[in-house]
Formats: sequence, C-alpha cells, structure tokens
Amino acid sequence: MTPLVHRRPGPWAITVVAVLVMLAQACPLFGAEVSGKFSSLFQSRENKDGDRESVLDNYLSLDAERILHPAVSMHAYGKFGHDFDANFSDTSLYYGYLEYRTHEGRADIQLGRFPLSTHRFLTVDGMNVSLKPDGPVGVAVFGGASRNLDLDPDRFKRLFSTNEGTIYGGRLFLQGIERTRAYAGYSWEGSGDTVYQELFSGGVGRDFQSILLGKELKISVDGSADYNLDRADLDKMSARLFTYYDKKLRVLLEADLYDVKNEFPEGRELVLSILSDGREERTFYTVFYDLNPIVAIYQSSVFTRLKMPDGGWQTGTILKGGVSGNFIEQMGLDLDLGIYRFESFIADATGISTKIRWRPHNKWILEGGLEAVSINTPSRQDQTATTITGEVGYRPKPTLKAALFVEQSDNPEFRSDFRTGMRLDYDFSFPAGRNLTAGEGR
Amino acid sequence: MKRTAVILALILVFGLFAGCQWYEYRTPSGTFAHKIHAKPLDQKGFACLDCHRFSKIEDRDFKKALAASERTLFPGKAICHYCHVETATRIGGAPGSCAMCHLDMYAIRPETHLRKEWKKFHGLEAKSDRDSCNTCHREWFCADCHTRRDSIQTLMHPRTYRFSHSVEAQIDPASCGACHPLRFCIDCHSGKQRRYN
Repeated sequence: MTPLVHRRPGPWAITVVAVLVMLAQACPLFGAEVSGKFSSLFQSRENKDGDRESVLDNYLSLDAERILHPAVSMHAYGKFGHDFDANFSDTSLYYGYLEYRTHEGRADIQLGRFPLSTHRFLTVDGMNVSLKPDGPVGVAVFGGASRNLDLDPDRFKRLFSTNEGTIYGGRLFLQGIERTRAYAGYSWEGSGDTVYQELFSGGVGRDFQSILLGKELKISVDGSADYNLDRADLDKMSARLFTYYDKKLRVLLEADLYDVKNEFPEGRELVLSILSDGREERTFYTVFYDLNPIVAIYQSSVFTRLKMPDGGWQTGTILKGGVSGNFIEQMGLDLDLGIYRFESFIADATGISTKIRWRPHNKWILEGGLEAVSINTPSRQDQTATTITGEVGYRPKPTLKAALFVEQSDNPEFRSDFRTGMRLDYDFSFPAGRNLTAGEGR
Repeated sequence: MKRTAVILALILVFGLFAGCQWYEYRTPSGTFAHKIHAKPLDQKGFACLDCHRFSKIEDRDFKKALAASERTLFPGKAICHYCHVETATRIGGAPGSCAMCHLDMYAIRPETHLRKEWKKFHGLEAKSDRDSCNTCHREWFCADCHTRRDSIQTLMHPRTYRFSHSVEAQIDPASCGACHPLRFCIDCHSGKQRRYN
C-alpha cells in the first residue's frame, strides 16, 4: 500500500491567487471579463466544556475570460481561513487553471488544477482536452495526478492531498443529436504497477416529449455502467427515469447496483467496501407535486440491500416527506417542513426539520429553523439531538448580502455549542480593460 | 501572520476595486458602449434604427437621444441576444457571458431553476447536460456548496446529521462514497480530532 501523503498548500498556491488578483487589477493591459464571488464567514462558538473557537473563512472565486485572446481564460477558486484562538491560518487552492475554449466549446483545453467529472467527481492536477469536431462524435482525453479534498484532523484545514497516484483516460461522446446522450469512456488510476481502479464506462440517455390527457409529458431515461477491467466484473450499473407531467408532477425513479472492490491506498478506500462486502443494491424514488402555485408536497423513499462480509444480507429503508410553501408574493414568506425516518439493522432514527424565511422588506431577510432527530437502538435508551437557528440578513444590492446568525445545538454524543457570527456574500463582475466606465466609450 | 495579512489585504483591495466600479454601470443598458459596437454593427450592416425606434429625437439631438437611450431607448434583450446569445445568429467575436451585461444573475435564472425541487434535482440535469450549466456557471459554483463543511448554512446535510449519520451510513454507504473517502470516517472515529471530540 502506498502511504497517504498530505501536502500543505505551499507558497505557490498563494502566489497563483495573488497573480490572478493582480492580473484582474492590471487588466487594462490585457482586457478581460472578470467575474466571481467573495464570501466571508466569521463564527465564534463556545463548547460545553468552555472551549472557544473563533474562525474566519474567506472564499474567493475568480473567472477572467477573454485574456489576450477571446478563447483564453483563467479560473481560480480558493479559501483562506484563520483560527483566531489557535492563531492558525490555512490557504487552499481548490481550482486554478488556464483554459482555451473556442466558440461553443468546439475545442476546450484545461491546464492546471481543475474539476473533472468521470466515473466519479475528481480534482486533477493535469490537463483535459475536449474536441467537438463536425460530426456526431466528440472526444475528450485527460491525465494528471488525482487530488482528494480531505479534512485535517483539527477540522479547520482543508487539504488537497494526493494518493501518489495518477489518473488518465478518455471518452467518446455523442453530440448534436437532439434529446439523445451517449458516451463510452476508459480510465486508469494507479501508481506504478498498482492499479487502484481501471474502468470502462458507458451510458446512454434519451428525452421524450409528448401530450398525455391534454397535458405536457416529458420523460428522461438514462442508463450507465462501469466495468472494472482489472477484476473483469461490473462495478456499478444504474438506471434512471425522470418524469415531468403537467408542470405539476415530477417523479424520479432510480435503481443502482454497486459491486466494488478496489486497490486504493489506505484511507482512500470506498466507504461501501468497508461497511459491507462492497455490494449494494439500491432503489429509490422521489415524487414532487404542486398542489397549487404556492404549496408543494414531496415524498421520497430509498430501499437498500447490503451484502455483508459474512455473506449475509442486511436491508435498510429511508423515508422522507414534507411540504413546502412559497408565499413570497403574498406576504414575503417561504417555509419548508420535512420529516424523515431511517431504518437500519443497527438503529432507527426519526427526525423533523423546519425552515422559515420571511422578507418583510426587499432588503431584509429573516430566517429561522428547527431540527430534531431521535435515535432508537435496541441496546440503549433513545437519544435526541436538536438545533435551533436564526439569521438576520440585509441585502442592499442584488449581489451583496450581509447576515448575522445564531445557532444553539444540543447533541448528546458530540459537542453541544452555541455559535454566533456574521457572513458576507458578494458577487462581482466587470469588464476590466475595456474602458467601460460610466459614460465613457459611447 | 504576515502571509495572512498580505492575502487579506489583496482580497480587500480586489473587492473594493471591483465593487466601486461595478455599482456604477453593471446593467445591460448601462454597460452598452456605442464605441465598441459601432464598427462590428456597421460591418454587419446594422443601422441605428435597427435598435432604436424613436428616430425623430435621434435626428434632432444625438446627445439628448444618447442620454435618454440608456433608459427609454434601450432596445431590449432580443436585440442584444441576437448577436450575443442566440446560437443561430450569434456573431463569433461577441462575448456570450451573461455576467458581461447582467447585474443580477439571480433575476435571469432559467425556468428550471424556479421549480421548487430544483435544489433536490439539479444534479440530475447537471449530469445530463453539463454544457448547459456552463453557460452561466463555472465549476467553482458547484464547489462553493459541495466542498464547504461546518457552515452555518445547511448545504448538504441536516444540522443534526453528525448525530444520526451512522444510521444512514449503514443503510446506504454507496452514497457516502460519492463525496467522502474512507479517511473522512477514520479521522473522527479513530479519535484524531484534537479539539472537538
């Protein structure tokens, strides 16, 4: 097994962010469409044992498009956090890449740290090339070192650590055929002679549209499979049906089969392969229905079967239901009430969740919520956890919001705490270097 | 600490710089610049009257018409979208980014985003048609919610989830694995967390 290695975000990460920020400022030299979001969250909490934690988390995303050339852009998203009590800072670059994307993505090249959606969600330090030539088939190839977003043991830091492995692969996909999707892909992930996972993936999907009893009916059907070449067996099969009827009824049906066995290094194993023999059969549905333009009800159920290491099977059920009301136009109010029940072979849980949001004025938003969950196990007394929250938000501009919040949590097994804080969300965009100040350039 | 201060200062300067400019002119009508558009529109054979309807004012006093045009003579999105958005008529060099002109992206959400269950089902549509998402959103928009932990906002799990997560993990561990590797479990259950257990 290859040991798990963590790398602290080095000065290079900060340098990349700083260069991007400076580029945005210096854009009169280059010209760019800059947009992004700055989000800041400060919270202070006191634990039951008297410990205090005061943390500031800042998230900054930047997209600078049309740099030097209309097809060239830079994208970055990162976090800077500071723990005031521990006097400790953390900087993480979640994404940072240069992109060359021609009109409508006919050619798309990403270089740097970028998100990649293959058989699972990945972050890769490397390169991704996608080409959509004339004709029904497009092609994409990728390669690099896969990264994993981990939690530092003190829970404050986020680490993009590596499993010392590389990943590469490619995909052929259908394009330009209306309402039809299809792809076939291959990916290899491993280190040296060790193959973590080698998959051949394929999927098809189609949308149908019709009139049923005088009402509009839309149906989307998708199916996919991952075949593990290393063990010559299927890792995953999935089938999904999404129905949309009369603009009121939405139904999602899905059936999945997992049978995973892999050679990921210690700590990187799939959760399923540890909590079972690696085989899970799952079916679920969700129904959402608008009673009227204001009130909607929903219900979803999940049924699973897990194969355990001793060869036996365990079943589980998740039931959820609720109602949501949107009285924004009548009284500036929207609310959600949900209940759920988990039934597993170790314990049952029953919970309730309520959330209410009120806008007495278009610049002010008041929010409140209450959650409670009770766990029943055969071996001990029932236990209940509760959380109550409140928030006052002020939105002077459509893209600027500041809020004060308070939360009280009572948890019988983990920490109970009382936290207060404030957060700021700010969306921005401006055409830097285009000489477009108010009144100019006309 | 010095590094911290530098980063904070950079973020602050950037925010102020962006914000001060932006509030002045970030509306579709306010952003429009005749100077930039004159040449390409002329090359494509567009005349003033193709966009602006009140020809008498423009004929008499161009300056006054220009001042008025920002509010009253703004031709509407169909005219802008003809060159910037619509697939069949879009001009190759015309920027297609929504944020280029629109102040409030929230106000121009597509119909799908207005559905009550959008938050619950958006992943399905994102898997089906990622290019459609990329029209307005970059990848960080997904990461902004999906990678945050311990936020005051309930982004992924209920607030009480820490207490009840083991029950769901025993029912549907494949869903846990979609986001978390095993180390995420081990860190807590092995007692590694030094401050919060």
